[in-house]
Amino acid sequence: MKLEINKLSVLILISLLISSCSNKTQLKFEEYNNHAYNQAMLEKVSYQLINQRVFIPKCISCHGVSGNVNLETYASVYGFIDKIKDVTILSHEMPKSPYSSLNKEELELLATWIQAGAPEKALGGVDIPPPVVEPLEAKFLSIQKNIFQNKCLVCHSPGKEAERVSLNTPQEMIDSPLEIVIPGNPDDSDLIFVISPTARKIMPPKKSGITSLKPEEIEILKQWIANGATD
Amino acid sequence: MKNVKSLVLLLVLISCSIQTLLAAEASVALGKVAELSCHRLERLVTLQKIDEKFLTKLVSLQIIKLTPAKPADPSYKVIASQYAGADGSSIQVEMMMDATGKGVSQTLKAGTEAQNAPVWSDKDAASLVENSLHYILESNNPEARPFASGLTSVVLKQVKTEQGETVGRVEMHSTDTTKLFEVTLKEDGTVESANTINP
Repeated sequence: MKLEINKLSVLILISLLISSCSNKTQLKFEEYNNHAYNQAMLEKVSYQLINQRVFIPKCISCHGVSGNVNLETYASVYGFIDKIKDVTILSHEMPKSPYSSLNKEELELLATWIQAGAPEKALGGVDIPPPVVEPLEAKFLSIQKNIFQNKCLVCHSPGKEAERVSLNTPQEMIDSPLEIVIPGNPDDSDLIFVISPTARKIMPPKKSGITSLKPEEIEILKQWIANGATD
Repeated sequence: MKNVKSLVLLLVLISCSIQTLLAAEASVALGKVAELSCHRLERLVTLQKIDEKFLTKLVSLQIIKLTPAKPADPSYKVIASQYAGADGSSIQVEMMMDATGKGVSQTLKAGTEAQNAPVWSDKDAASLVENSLHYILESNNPEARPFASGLTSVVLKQVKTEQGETVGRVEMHSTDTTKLFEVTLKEDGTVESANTINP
């Protein structure tokens, strides 16, 4: 009889442990449901907004045309929506190091959009206006913001793997013994050599997972150097 | 009083000029010069001024600090050699560099092409040498420091480990120590080990 009571106690203990574990999972999911998304914005979020505030700055560097999972169109994003939710909002596995994680505001926007059903247009008919996107221009600040920050500075920054090659200012690139930029001469500038699709050591390196520069981005860099590589 | 002021001003000017000259003379560590010469090889190949075999069949770099007589004179010479051919001669390129390590000119030296140079399956020979130089320039290994500052030559060898793995071994010499430094790299360019050796 005593043995039976002991067995029963062990069974109760195990079931309590299992139930506590599942409660934890439940809590985590409820936490996401209750806090991560913004109820007031549910009908105002659109793909265009999320694309410009989250996907372009935080995902497209790797998930572009030459990445494994392309997140450059609404259809492709929608096809991966469950996976996106898992790896960004629930497990925070993405963006991967060395890229910075999504901040609180980006997480809230993404969670709200997914909670709304990941609509292409805002459900209420009126979108929150996306930030104004300045077109890529053959000017250093534009190149820095739209190309270097997304595809280069993740390694070419102080404390990072390729800090020895600085892309911080036009003058540093011009003065570099690597002849990164030769003003007026894009064809002899190392920057152009390494980003061309036929480069021996193409940048960004394939192992980084970062997508190669698009032809229009390469063209803008060439134009900037041809114009003298000034600010 | 006026004369004293002029004298002080003159001394300041002379001191600044000397400092500028000294800075221009030796501003780059020899290990860095060697690393820059690897980039220079890549660049010359891309510009089709030298043959691609300087990347695939590179065996050694010799780094020589020059004494420029005029500001426009080169400050460093690096001789890059391919594996020696059957008659023992090597195809070489001499690269002249300014005080910042920027390439200013290059001269090709004739030799015989090696038919049995080691074949590398992943990174080419120049990349393996370059990665070994990144190691001595960027690691915290105190034994590597004399080789970053006073490097005179690097020689790449292909060896088999006891486990049968093919690795690259870069042997380095320096004016700052009588010891040698060996960096062993996998064929993908990652450094496997690094240590000094008493000759």
